Amino acid sequence: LLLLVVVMLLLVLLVLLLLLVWLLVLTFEEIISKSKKKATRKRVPPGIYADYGFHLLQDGQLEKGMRMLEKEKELYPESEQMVNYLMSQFK
Amino acid sequence: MKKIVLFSSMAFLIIGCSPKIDRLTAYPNLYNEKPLSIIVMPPINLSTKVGAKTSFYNTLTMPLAESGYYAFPASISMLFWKEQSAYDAELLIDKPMGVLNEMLGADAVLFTTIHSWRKVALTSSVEVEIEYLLKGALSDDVLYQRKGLLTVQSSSNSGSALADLATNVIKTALTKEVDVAQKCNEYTFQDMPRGKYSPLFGKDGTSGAGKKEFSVTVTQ
Repeated sequence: LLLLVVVMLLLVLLVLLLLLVWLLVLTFEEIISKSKKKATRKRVPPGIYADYGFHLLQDGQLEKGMRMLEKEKELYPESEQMVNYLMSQFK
Repeated sequence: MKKIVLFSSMAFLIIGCSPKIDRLTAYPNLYNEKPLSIIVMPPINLSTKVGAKTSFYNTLTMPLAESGYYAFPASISMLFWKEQSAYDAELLIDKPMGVLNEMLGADAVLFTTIHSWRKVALTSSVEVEIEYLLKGALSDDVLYQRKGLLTVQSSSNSGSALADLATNVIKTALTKEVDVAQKCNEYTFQDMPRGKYSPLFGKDGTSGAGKKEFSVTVTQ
């Protein structure tokens, strides 16, 4: 019975963690879609694509993460060295 | 409460009357060097508050980005600091920073020192003494430096002094560290010359600059 309780607790924790990750992803996509329309420069703010890409890479979504990092480089050329460093960490 | 309001309005009057210096004379190096990308160092925490370091570290990039600079995301630079075992900025503050420009392409490095962090239950506020220092990565010149004693207030006023005292104590206890750090950063960076992504870039040299050492009360 004790084992069952522990397993249940772990499951609940896992669900909470997944929910947190899901919330994080949702907010990043929200920032990206909203800033394109509403921000002062009508552009995604610096670091958002890079940060999103980093979280995706950590989550194992390599292809999408790399795509986001490429977008950051395109939008903000000064980030190139930093993004290249980050990419080298996941290759 | 009334006394506080009176004093703060008087303080505003005094500040308003003192002769102002413009940003061009206050931060000439920043206008000369025109840094674009800024990397934030983990803060040096001299206070007894353990969480102060992370609270400040994670809230420093946003006001910089809003001022028109390219601030490296906190999560990615943290990966770099950990890999280089440079989590303790106190060892690096007087070292040349050229290597950061070489490896990451940063134009400037932001150091912060948290001197103290104190909760004042009676006036329901948090008192933070913090110093900001922006150094050019290639020139090692001081581009921007300010030191402030900021009192972040979260008081309520219902008319009954006793009830106020009780709610204020609870409110101070609940004040999030991150919110305090955010308020401090927002206030301090108000007079920072705008960066390349701001419409005001290069045009704000004549706007007023704040005092190098200041003490202020911010309400939440």
